This record gives sequence, structure tokens and C-alpha cells, in this order.
Amino acid sequence: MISYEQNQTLTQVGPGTPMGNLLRRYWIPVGAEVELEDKWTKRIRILGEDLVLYRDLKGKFGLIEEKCPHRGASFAYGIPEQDGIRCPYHGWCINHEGQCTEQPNEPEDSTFKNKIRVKAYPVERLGGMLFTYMGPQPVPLLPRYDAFATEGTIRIVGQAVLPVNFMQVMENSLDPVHTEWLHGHYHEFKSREMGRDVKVAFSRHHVKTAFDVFEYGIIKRRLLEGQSENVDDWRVGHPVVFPFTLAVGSGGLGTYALQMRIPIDDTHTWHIWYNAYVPGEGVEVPPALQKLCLYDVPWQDESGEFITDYIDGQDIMAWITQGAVADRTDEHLGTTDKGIILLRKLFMEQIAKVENGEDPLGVIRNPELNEMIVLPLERKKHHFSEGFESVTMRFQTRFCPVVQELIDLFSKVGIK
Amino acid sequence: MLKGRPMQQRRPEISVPKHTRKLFCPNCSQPLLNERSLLVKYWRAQDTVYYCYCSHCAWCGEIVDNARVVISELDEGS
Repeated sequence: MISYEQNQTLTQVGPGTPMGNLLRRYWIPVGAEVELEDKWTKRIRILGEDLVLYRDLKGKFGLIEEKCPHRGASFAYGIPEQDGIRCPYHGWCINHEGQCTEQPNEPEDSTFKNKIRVKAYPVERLGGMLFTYMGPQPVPLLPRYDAFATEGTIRIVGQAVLPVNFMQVMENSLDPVHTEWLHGHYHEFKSREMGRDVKVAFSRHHVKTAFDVFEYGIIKRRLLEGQSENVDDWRVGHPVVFPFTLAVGSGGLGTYALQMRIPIDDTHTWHIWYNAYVPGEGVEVPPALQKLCLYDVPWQDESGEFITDYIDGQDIMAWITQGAVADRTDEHLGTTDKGIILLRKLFMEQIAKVENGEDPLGVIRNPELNEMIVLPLERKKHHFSEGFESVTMRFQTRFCPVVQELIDLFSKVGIK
Repeated sequence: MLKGRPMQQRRPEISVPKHTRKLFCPNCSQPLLNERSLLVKYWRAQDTVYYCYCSHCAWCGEIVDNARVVISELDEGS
């Protein structure tokens, strides 16, 4: 239970808000490269700002505010140029820095264009994704987390726009016990209702949980009933990468799984599931798996009810039923919520750091530290002990159009 | 038109969540309900616990409303 004002500080992400200022200190995903292969623009909304992602004629990506400063038409219908984008309405051209460079119908000697500037943000590519930085100069380095920077991986990326504030999605990641119930007992209940009597590894009881702040976020550990403290789940754990990413380990495979929760605005989150699989040595990757596969993750059925027979759908149901912005003035936290409390405190501390002119947690400026950031990840995660196919078909990966090719490749020991 | 000083917009009072104490930082005495600090109320069995982070001095820690105080006496000779 916190005050209304403290809840607002934690959940408002627009320009000029304390949380908005903090989040703007990080590189933020804005799309996948494949989205702009067959088209030139993509309209997006990030941190309450309406923007247009575009590819110019040289192949460089840019990001500018959606509305043309002339009379407000959308650059989503713009004409790509050699160095920027042109408004379709009257041909004003804007470069990657947001400077207007041409106003074709103004007098030839007019300097009016020099006065015109729009918001523009840099765009960088990594691991098949496009990232932007919306904060003040100097721009920090785009973190080269192992999931993105490992070369030659098979990449599949699920996405969904959820009508919910990003903070309750992040709090879910600091709440290990929910897995025992939502993905364990509730999953078993749902399966029984559908005529399948299954017992899943997720339902094993938590003996204890622990949370440690480290240089990129918080490491989360769990010890389950019957486990010794030498197991990966407790000894290694997996991290919540500050401020909006969860990195999950695997069941002994060369895989990376990032769940990124990008605030669209105060009441919407763009959820990305970025999965990268490392092919075994000498394994021939089939054509269907050679290119990043971007797909939508459905979470509602035809009647508008939540789809809760898969793990991520269960999470989505819980997040959205908490309300667009969870009312934290009326909650009742217990001792198993200590990870959530730690996350809130970490956000408040980092907001204070930004206000004091410091870099917040995880911002990287030293290139030597950024060649490849290897995150601590359990490699023998108990929850994934039922095997690749079973787990893959119980997560949102079931909706990936090339999931069968992925499972087939793994069944031939094609994943390291 | 009214003359004189312009109307000052009154800042609303900081709200106090239901059943929450107005607590102050044990280190610097600043109020912990301001919008940049954190006062999280949670429960540990019968005890009510307030996890505190003070934005003024960066102190963090817990304040506990004990339902019952139990103190173990030392063994004789120890």
C-alpha cells in the first residue's frame, strides 16, 4: 500500500514526469528491422509521444514526431528522401536531426526552413531490433546484451499491445511466487477443465526467494521444495534488467529469452518476447528460421475473454484485471512481495539520481564494458525441465508461425 | 475583474492511504509520504511493517508496528 502520489510517480511516463525522465535515459526498442523491409514508415507511440519510425533512401533509420510542423499532417505517409523524410502534404523535408531542410514552395531565398525543427531521436540496430534514445545528450551506448549481440542465433519475436501500465507488468517479474499458482495450480485447473489431467513443474512449492541488486538490475532467485541450494534456480537465478526487461534462463539449452515491457503511455504497454536460440555447431538452419520472425501474440478470444491456457496469457490476464493502472493505495502486500517493494524503491532511487544529474543504473558509456554483456542466467531452470517442445508449446512461442520448424530442429539436437 | 494578487493555485494535500500512519524519516525527520519518497505498508503475520525510502536523505529501512513484543532473555552465564 502506497500513497496516490507515490503511485503516480511510479506509473506516469509522459514527457516531464519523473518516471518519464528516468526511462528516457535508456535505449528503447521501437520495432524490428523486418517491419521496414517492405514499407518505409511505422507509426509508433512511446512514453506518451506519437512518433514515426522510417527508413530513408540510404537505408538509414530515423524517428521523428508524427505531425508535420507545417500543418500537422502525418509523416507516417511521408516520402523517403536521401537524408530524412518529406511530408506528403506540401513536401517539407525533415532530416534525421529533426531540422527542416526544404520547403519547396517557399521563395527560393527564404530562410524560414532554418526556424523549423521537430523532435527527432537517433535509431540504432542490434540483434534484428531497432532501438531509440529519447533522453538528453550525451547519448549513452546501446547495451549489447548477450541475447541481442550473440551472432548467428535463430530469432523469433512475439509482440502484443496491452491496455495496462508497464509498472504492474514489471512488478510481476519480481514476484516469483505467482508462478507456483498462476502457471502451476491454475494451469493444472484449466487443463482439468479441458479434459487433460496434467501436473506441471511450475506448481512446485517455493521454500524461499531472494533478490540482489547488481549492475544491470535485480537478480531473482528461488528455492523450490526438495531442491538443494546448489541448483541453478537458487545459485544463479535470472535478472530483471532495469528498467523494463526480464531475462529468463533455459532448461539447459543455448537460448535467450527477454521480455521487454515498453511503455506506450500511462495505460498501454508494448510487450515484446525476444527469443534467440543458438544453433549447435555445424547445424544447418532451415530457411524458415534464418530470418527474424515477428508475430502477434493473441490474448483475447472471439468473445473478448482472456486466453489463459498458456503461460504468458495467464500473466496478461492477471496484469489487465488489476486495472489499467493498478490502485496501489488499496493493496495488501505480504512478505512474499518483498521483491516488488525492492523494485519500487529502486525506481525511486534512480529517479533521484537522474534529478541529481547522475546516470541511473545500467547506463553504459564505456565501450570496453559493452562488447558483450553476459547476463547471469540459470541454464537448468526447473520450470523448463519438461523438455523443449512441452515448454515451447505452453508459452507464447506456440503462436510463432515457425514454431514447428524450431521444435524439429531442437529434436535433432540442433540447439547448443 | 478582481484586482490584487493573482489567485495562487493551491497544491492539494498529500493523500494518506487508508489505515496508513503519517510517518517521518527516522534519519532526517522529513515526511515519508511525499511523492518522491516511498512508504510501502505491508504485513508480516500480525505486525504491520512500513518499508521506507526517504528521497531527502536516501535512508531506507523498515518501521514496524509490533502487535506483540517478544524478547528472548540471554541464558545465564552467557
